[in-house]
Amino acid sequence: MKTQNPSDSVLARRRILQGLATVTAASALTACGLNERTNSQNQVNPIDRAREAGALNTLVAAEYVTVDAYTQGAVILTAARDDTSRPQEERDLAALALALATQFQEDHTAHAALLSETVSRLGATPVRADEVSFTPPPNFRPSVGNVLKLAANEERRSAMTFNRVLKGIQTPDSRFILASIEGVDTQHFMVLKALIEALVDVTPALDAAQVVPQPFVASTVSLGGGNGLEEQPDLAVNDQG
Amino acid sequence: MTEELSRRAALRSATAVASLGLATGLLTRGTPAQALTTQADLTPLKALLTAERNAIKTYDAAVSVLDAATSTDPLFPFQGIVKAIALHFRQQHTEHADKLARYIDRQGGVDDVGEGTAQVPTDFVPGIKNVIDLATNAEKAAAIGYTNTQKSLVLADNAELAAAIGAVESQHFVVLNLAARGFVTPPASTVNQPADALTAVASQFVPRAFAITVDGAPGLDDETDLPFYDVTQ
Repeated sequence: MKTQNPSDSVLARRRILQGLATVTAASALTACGLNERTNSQNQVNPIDRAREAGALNTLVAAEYVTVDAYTQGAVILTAARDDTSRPQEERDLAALALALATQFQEDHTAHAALLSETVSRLGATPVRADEVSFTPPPNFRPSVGNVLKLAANEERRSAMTFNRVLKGIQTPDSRFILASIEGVDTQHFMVLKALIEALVDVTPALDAAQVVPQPFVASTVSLGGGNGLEEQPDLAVNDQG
Repeated sequence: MTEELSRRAALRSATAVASLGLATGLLTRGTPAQALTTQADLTPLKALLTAERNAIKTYDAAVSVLDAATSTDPLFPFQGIVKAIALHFRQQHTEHADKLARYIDRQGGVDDVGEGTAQVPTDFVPGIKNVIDLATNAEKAAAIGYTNTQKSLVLADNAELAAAIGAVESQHFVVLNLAARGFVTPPASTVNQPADALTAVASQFVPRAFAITVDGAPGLDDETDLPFYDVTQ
């Protein structure tokens, strides 16, 4: 991963995460009160709209940071995959990790796009991808395993952040979007955890594009997003064995 | 201010705006026009509770099928781990149901949805693979259902709970889907092992019943970070 001095960063990852912590803490405070919402987006008052846009914009930034993290991780994984001095087993693991990282990055790109559009709908200016970047933790050691572990940690953190921010959001559609993204982040986390901890053996049939098959849990197409698990046909339960 | 400067300002102030807005929100709550009765959420919460009770009964039926499997089943060597995971997921659904019932009670509702019913299609053929497929379908529907419920919930606490549970159903789905599609198999160490010997292994799949800690029940925030400085693995 590229090295970056946090002091040089326009908006370092750490700052984003600190911001999210503030947002979520404030969200929790709000939730202690009578935190009901109105029934339609149009009825949310201007103060709440601004508040919501701010919270969602922070999530846009967080998604772009994650996209950049996967870009940087892909450099390490590609190098490992193409390193002919490594044992084939390690190169195969790197190839698998790279394929998954690429797919998960696509999901996060889709999340950022929908959140960005939602921020615009609320009348605010969304953060751009080129305004944020990922800064690896100072003690991070580049390796295939460590890229996977770092990704798992970030996916877990992301899911929790979405859940906390969701609680402070007033607009039903926005809550729905956040929940639909959160569920995919937890899928990413679980898949990465299973690989890291060798909870499963991977078979040659694995198709990285189908591991987390959709970018959203429920379809967000009507809100400008992407497909949900509704696109996955039910599996037949009458196989004769 | 140029557009770029505007975006940068928005970015830099996103946290501040959000914090201020969230805090300001405290002052805007509770007006008569906005004060919606907590009763509004009882219908969707009861629907979720019904789905959880149905899921528990469905897993009961699935475990019975697994117990009846014989060595002629192609997946018989995995009977133990599949059953252990089914019991683990069933337990998490029980925790979901208990939490939903508690929320309903707190909001003045009554848990009157009954014990639930196993949701087994009429064309279901008993077998380990079909059990995995059945559970995959059910967890997918549950994940979608919880997410869609966000559109109808009113209270923030209820929205938080629904998200925290829905994200767990989503994890159930992805684990089962990996196995159902043949993308992964359980590790060799679990082959031909009885379920009760694999409880600890099964609990590593979807380690928490909630995505975040809610109402005292631990979530993924209770998990520790994986050490990314470890160069031995």
